[in-house]
Amino acid sequence: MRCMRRLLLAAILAGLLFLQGCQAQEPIKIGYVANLSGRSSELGVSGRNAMQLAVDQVNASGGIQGRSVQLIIKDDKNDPAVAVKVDEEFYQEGVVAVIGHLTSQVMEQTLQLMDGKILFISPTVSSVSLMGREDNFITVIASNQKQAELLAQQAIQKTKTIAVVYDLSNKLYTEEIYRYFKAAYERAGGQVVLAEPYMSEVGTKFSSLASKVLASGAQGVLIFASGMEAGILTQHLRKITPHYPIFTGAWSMTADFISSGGKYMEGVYTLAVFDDQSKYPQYRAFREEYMARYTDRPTLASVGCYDAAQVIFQSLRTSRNHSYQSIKESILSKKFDGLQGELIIDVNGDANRPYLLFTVQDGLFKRVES
Amino acid sequence: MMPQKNWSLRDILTINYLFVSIIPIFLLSLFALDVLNSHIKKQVMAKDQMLAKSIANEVEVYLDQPKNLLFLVEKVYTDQDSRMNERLERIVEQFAILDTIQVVNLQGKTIYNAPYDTDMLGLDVSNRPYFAETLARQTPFWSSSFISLRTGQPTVTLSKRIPDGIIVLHLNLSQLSQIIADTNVHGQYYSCILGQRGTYLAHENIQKVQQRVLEPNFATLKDREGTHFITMDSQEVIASVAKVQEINWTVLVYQNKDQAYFPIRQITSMFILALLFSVLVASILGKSSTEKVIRPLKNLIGQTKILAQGNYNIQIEFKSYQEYNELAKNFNHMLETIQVRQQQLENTAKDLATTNKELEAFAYVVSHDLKAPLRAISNLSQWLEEDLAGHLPPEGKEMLEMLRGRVRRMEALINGILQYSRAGRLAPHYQWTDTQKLLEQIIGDIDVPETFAVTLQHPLPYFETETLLLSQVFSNLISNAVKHHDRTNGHVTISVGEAGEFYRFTVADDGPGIAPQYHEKIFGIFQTLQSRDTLESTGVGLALVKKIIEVQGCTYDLQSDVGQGVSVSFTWPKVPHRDGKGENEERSQ
Repeated sequence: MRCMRRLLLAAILAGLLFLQGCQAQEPIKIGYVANLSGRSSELGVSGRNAMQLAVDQVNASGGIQGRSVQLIIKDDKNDPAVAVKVDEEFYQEGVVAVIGHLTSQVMEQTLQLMDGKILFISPTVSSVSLMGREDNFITVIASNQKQAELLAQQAIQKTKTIAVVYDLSNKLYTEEIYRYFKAAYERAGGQVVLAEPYMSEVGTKFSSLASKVLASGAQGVLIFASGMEAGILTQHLRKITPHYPIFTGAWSMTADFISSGGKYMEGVYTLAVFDDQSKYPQYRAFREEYMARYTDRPTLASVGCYDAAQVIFQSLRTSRNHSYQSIKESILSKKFDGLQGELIIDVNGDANRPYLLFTVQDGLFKRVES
Repeated sequence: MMPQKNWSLRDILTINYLFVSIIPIFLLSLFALDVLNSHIKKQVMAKDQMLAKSIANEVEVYLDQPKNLLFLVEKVYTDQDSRMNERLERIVEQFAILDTIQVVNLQGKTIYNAPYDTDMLGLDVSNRPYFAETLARQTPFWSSSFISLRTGQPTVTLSKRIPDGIIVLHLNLSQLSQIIADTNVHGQYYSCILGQRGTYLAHENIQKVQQRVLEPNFATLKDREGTHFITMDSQEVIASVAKVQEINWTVLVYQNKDQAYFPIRQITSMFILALLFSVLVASILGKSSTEKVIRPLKNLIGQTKILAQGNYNIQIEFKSYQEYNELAKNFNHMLETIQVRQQQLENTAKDLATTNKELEAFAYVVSHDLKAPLRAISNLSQWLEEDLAGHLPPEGKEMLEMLRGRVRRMEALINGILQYSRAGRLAPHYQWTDTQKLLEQIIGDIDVPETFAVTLQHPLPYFETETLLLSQVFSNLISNAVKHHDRTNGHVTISVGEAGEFYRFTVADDGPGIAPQYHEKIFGIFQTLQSRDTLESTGVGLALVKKIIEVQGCTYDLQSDVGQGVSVSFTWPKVPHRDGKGENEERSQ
C-alpha cells in the first residue's frame, strides 16, 4: 500500500514537472496591429514585414529566455471601431504588448479603453495629444510638434506664405501637426494662407486641390498625405507651376511618393525618421535582409516597427516578469539600440528621436543637412 | 551449468503453430504495404503536381485575356478614332479584369485613360517601374503586383510598347482567388498563387491577399518546380510548385501529409486488423489442434501413472491420429506382457516363499537334528575320557580332545549357515541408536586384547536404524580385524563420513593385509584364507556382512594389500527405508 502511494506521488510529481516543462515552452505572444488592407496599407504592410523579420531573427537566435516569440497580426483597417475590437482580442489572447497602431486617429480611440490591459508601442504615432503623460502608450518616434517645427524652420527659408493640404483620414495626426506647423511657421514670420483638408477616397480630385492651392497665392505648399497622394498632388501643382516649393511630412516618404510624382518630384522637401543611405551597420544589415526577403525598400514604418520590436525584446529580457507593469517599467527611462542610433524612451514612454530632412534629386531622396 | 529448460510440448506446439501461421502473413503484409505505400505516395505526388500545373495553366489562360485586350486597345489607339475614349471606356466596362487603361507617350505623360479621369490625364508616370521596362522591350511587360488606389485590390500592370508610347492595362486580380477556390477539391488542398515577390495574389483567406502577406516558404520553393515535403507549423506537408512562366508567378499546392496518406493509414490499419485476426484465428486453431495432439498424450501419461502405482489391469482406449492409435495398441500389448510377467513373478515369489519355508524347516532340522548327534558325540567322548581316566594314553586323550574340537567346529558351521540363511529375511526393527555406545559395547563383547588399540573417530552418528544388523556388521568386521592381526599390539580405527543419504563407515586395521586377488573371494561363504586348523573360523562372517549390506541397498569397498592392513568401508542409510511393510513382517516370504 505504501509502495502504491509512493508510486502515485511520483506520478503526480512527474506530471507536474511535465506540465511545468510544457508551460516553459509556451511562446511569448506579441501583437502587431495596423491598417493592412486597402489603398492606405503600404505603411502597415511594410511595418508588418519588418516585425516578422525581427521576430524570425529573435526566434532563430534562441528566442527570449528560451521561449520563442509568437507574432499575432491583426488588421485595424484604420477604423477605430475595428481597432477596439482587435485590441480586445489581443487582450483575450494574452499578448504581452502590441506594436501599433500606426495612426494617431486609431490609437486615440483605443488607448484609454485598453489602459492597464495592453501596452502599445507605436512605431509611427507622433501625436502630441498622446504624449507627455504616463499611460499605456509608448512611441519610438518624436512628436508632431518637433516635426512641425522642423518643417516650419525649413519652409520659412523658401516661402513666406504657404498653403497646407492635409488628409482627414488620419485627422488627429494631420490636424495636430498642421496646428503646430502654423504656430511655428507664423512665429518665424510666415503666413499660412490656406488650410485645405480633404478626405482620401476614390475619385479625390487632386487637380482641384492643386488649383485651390495655387489660387490662394501661397508661395509654397505643405502636404500631409500618403506618399502616393502627395506625389499625385505634386504633379498637378507643378504641371501648372513648375518648381513650385513643396514640403511634405514624414508620412509621405515612401517609394510610392517618387514613383507617383514622376519627374515633377525634383526639389520636393520631406521629413523622415530614418535615412535609407545610413551607414549604421545595424541598419545596413537590416536593410539587406529586408530587401532580400521582400524585394522592397524599408519604409518609415519598417524602421519604426523593427526598433519597437527591439525595445520589447530587450525589455522582456530584463523585466522581472512578463506582466504589463513590469514590462512597462523596463522600458521607461531607458536607452535602446535603434537601427540608426541610440533610442531614448523617457519617463512618459515618449521618444526623443531626430527628424531628418530630405529632398528629391535625380529621382532619389537626398539628405539635407539642416 | 544452466539447467536445461523443461519445455512443455503444448507450449512448443502452440508457439510453432503461431510462428508458422503468422510469419508468412506478416511478411506478406509488410511487402504488400511497402508496395502500396510506394504506389500511393507516387500517385499523391503526381496528383498534387498535376493540380499545381493545372492551376498554373488556368492562370495562363486567365492572363491570355488581357494579352488579347492589349492588342485590342492597341488597335483602337492605332485607328485614332474620334470616339476612342468612348471605345476604351466600353472595353473597361466589358471586361471585369480591367481596372484602367492608360496610353502614355514616350515622355511618360498619360494621354488617354479609361475610365476617363481628367485628374489622371497628363500625369507623368515616367517614374513608375513599368515605364522604363516597357520602353526597353518589344514584348509585353508584366509588372509586380501592388494594391490599386482605385479598387484597393491586388493589381498588376500589363504594358506594351507602341510606336509613340506605351499602352498600360491595370488588371484587377481579385478573380484569381476564384481559380484556386475551384480547384480546392473537398477542402483537402490548400493552394495559392504568389506574385513575383512571393506575396499572395490568390488565397482562400482573402485577407492574406489584401494584406500582401509573404508566403513563408516562397524563398525556399520559388525555384523548385515539383513536389516536396516540408514542415509547416510543426506539421509535415506535401508542397507542389508550378510556375506561371510568362509572369514569373508561383503556384503552390499544399496538402497535409497525414490527410494525403490517409489511404495508407487506412490500409495499414486493415492489415494490422487482418494480422490480429489471423493471430486470433491461428491461436484458436493452434489451441484446438494442440489439444487434439496433447489430449491422447495426457491420457497416456495418466495411464502410465496408474501403471507406475502397480495397477496393470488397465486399457487405453481412444480414437485419434493413426500414430496415437498404434501407440495405444502397443501400450496395451505392453500391458498384457507386463501382466503375464507379473503373474509369473507372483508365481515365482510364491514358489520362493515355499522354498524359503522349506529351507527354514530344513535349517531348523539341520540345527536341531544335526546338533543333537554332535552334542552326543561330544558328551560321549567326554564320558569316555572320564571313564578311562588313568588308562588312556596321552595320545588317546589328545585325540578325544581333537574330536570334540571338530564337533564344536561343526556346530559353529551349522550356526553360521542358519544365521546366513536368516539374514535379510527377518522383519526390520528400527531403534534410535548411538553408534558410539553401540561400538563400545561390541568392542567389550569381542573381548579385544588389552594390547590392541581400537580408536573411534568422533563424532559418530545418533540415528534411527536397524541396530541389530548394524551391530552384526561392525562386530564381524572388528572381530576379523583383531582375529586376523599378525601382532598383539594391533590398531583398529573406526570412522564415519557423509555420502548423501548414507553414512559411510570405515573399519581399518594395520594388520598383514590381503592380497588383491583375494578381495572378492573373502566375501564368499565358507571362504577362509587360512586353514581352519591354523585359525578357527567358519568363513561365514564377511559373507554375512556382504549380505546384510546388500539387503540394506548399500555398498561396500575393501582397500588392502599385503602388509598394508585392511580398510573395509560400507554405506548405511541415514533414515530407515520403510516400504510400507510391518516391522514385524518378514522381508520376503
